[in-house]
Amino acid sequence: MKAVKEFVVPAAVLTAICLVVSGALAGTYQLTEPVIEAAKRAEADASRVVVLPDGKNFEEVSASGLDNIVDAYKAGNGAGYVITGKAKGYGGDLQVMAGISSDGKITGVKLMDNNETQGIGSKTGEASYTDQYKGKDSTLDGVTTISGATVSSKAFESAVNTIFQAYGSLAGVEVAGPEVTPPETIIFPDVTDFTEVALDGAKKAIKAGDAGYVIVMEGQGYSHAAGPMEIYVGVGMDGKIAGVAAGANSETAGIGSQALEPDYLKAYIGKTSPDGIDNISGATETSVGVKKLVRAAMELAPALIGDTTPKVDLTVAEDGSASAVIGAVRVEIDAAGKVAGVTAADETADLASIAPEEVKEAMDNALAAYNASKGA
Amino acid sequence: MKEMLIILFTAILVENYVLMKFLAICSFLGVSKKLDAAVGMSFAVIFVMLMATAATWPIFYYILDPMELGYMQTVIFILVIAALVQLVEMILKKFVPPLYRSLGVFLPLITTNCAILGAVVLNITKTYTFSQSMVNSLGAGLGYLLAMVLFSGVRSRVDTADVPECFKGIPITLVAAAIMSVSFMGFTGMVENLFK
Amino acid sequence: MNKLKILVNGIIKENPVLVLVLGTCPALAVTNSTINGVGMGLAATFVLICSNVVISLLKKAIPDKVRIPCYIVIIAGFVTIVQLMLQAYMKSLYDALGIFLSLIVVNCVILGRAEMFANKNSVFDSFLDGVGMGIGFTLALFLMGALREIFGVGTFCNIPIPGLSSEPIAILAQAPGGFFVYGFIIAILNKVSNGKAVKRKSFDCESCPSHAGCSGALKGGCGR
Repeated sequence: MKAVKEFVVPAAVLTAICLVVSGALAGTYQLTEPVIEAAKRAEADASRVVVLPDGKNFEEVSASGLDNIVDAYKAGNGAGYVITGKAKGYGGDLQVMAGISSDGKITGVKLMDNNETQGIGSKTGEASYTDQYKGKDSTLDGVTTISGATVSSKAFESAVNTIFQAYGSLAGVEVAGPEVTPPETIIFPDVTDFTEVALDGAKKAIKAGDAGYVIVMEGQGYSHAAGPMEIYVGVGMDGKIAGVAAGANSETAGIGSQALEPDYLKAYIGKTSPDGIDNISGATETSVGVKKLVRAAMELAPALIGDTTPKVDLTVAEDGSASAVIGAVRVEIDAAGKVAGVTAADETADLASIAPEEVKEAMDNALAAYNASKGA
Repeated sequence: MKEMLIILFTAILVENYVLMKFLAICSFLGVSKKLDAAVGMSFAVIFVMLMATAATWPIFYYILDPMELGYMQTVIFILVIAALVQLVEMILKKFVPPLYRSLGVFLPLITTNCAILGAVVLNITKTYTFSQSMVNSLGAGLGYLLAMVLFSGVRSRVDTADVPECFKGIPITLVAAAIMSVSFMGFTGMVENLFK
Repeated sequence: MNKLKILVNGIIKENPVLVLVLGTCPALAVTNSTINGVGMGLAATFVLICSNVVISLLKKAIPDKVRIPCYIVIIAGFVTIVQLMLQAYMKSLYDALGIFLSLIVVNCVILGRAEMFANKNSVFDSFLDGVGMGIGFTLALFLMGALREIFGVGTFCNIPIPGLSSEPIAILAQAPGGFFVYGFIIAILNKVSNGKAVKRKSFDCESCPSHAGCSGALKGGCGR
């Protein structure tokens, strides 16, 4: 009897309670299930109507095989599609739902699941930001970024882009991507005829009309980036850098990407090597990566534009002194290998009429040639 | 692997169960007075959390889901946790007495520790796979340990500090927890970039 | 005991959140807006009343040995009913409360009342106790939610407040703000009542009403 009281009764009571509770829940579930289903559908439809006001009777269409697409719905009345896409934001995946009307224009966008910082990245969910997408086509022309929330805004934009690509394949229409200026055009904005030329050691080389060449190099930036980065180095016919621009890369948005911004890269213009260019603090690895690629490109440049080192006409006298003519400058060098005097090569001309940089370069080149002749 | 690391560190730092998600606050504030108790409690939580995940995940996906009994989730999970805690206690007592002496005292407290039920329910709502669930639970447990250990250090200072009379005891403890929570907010957005 | 006293007891003298400092998890987690706080309070009140009544009805039938599992199953059952109801009729609140709806199961207020009151008192008294405690819990969550929403978001029940909505103290609506506001409310209660109001002076196990549920192990466990 004791065993019964000790074990059987408690076990029986607990079991009985479990059974009763299960029964009660099953009953409640039976009653509420249709309502829950209806509520879910109504909620989902309601949120879709927000982005596609004319849409009715949404039906899910298969979005399998489409990258970064969460789901896609087609309006039963042919008003268009509502597609949810995702992109990496600041705090992980960020989902965006967009309605696209049958004429390929955005009817509305909405920020869905996200972990963006409250008050900063979360601003991408506010109407002041999302309203600008209304009426845009797939080029997303004129979409602005929220300052201070660059990463979230860019992620939002890229999600909308992905959605347009998905729309293209679902609706079976050609969708133009956002207009991107190719890097070579950024470097040589006035040139229209770009032809690819062969160049050993470079990923690609492009002849930019008569203005110069663009050498495309690929290498590592940030050591934890998902892939290498492409750097386009424009070299003018004078052998100087005409511009540097970034190609494909996976540098961290907002950090490494700073070293790929035109604002930073314009420091290279007019130089012959990356010497003396500052790194961006916080983006050192990317900055150094850019420098390495520019240096490598400049080593390959002579193969395309020929040797741009100025011709030095050097005459060495028996006593070891020498006189060299470089362009419009004549440089006298004494036996000790020091510059003894500089005059204009054309005796009637005035040295002052020649640019000081050119004179200095001429002196350097004369000395280099003199030293070279001594070594030989 | 990268994904697992992201889940692990997100659970430890960004979504710290105690400081960011407000789970297991009772035990966080109750047991963090002494370091050794805090550590003992944390290891008991990690242990039970992993066991509970290993038990509830298959139950949900192989029994409840196929039978369309998803709504029984809460009832079943809490029963499983309660039974598991009892079982673990009995096994430890019988076979591993040293471990029982160090962890055993904390075990009965754990049934009603909302971090455990929270972790197993979240694993289902987030539709994690089995291994992802285990990693997430491990991270949740380690995050609990981290918060407990850090906070026990903070409290030993706070308890002796000279604060206004009306702040003594609970209020100042909560304010200290608020400040610690602020520091954990700094991890938002970091983990994803850490393993790029 | 006077019936009215039982009812009022939970609202003021033994307010579960502000005086006994229980149910801290939901009090901190879902009070980032007034509506969420009140929603959580009402959901917990429903569970509290129902479980109090049922446990009081069954107090003779439930053997002492398995009473905690029995209580938990009963509470979990009512929690699931609330979940299903909210999901069907108030989907937005269901989404906002998220996991904390399931976690009502382990809310120490509910298990605590079952253990301390319902299994010793009559059905009607337990009902009144549930109502009183539930209202007290809801009021406390309303207070927290309102303060955090007004100062953290600058709105009250989603209605913008002029002057506050442009520059809110955003952190109050985020995780640290929960601890902060809670700490300050208790400090103010201490101040105005000269330290008499808040019953629980520190966090230890003796003051936890469900500590009986932790069986004998507690003696060495929690407070050592």
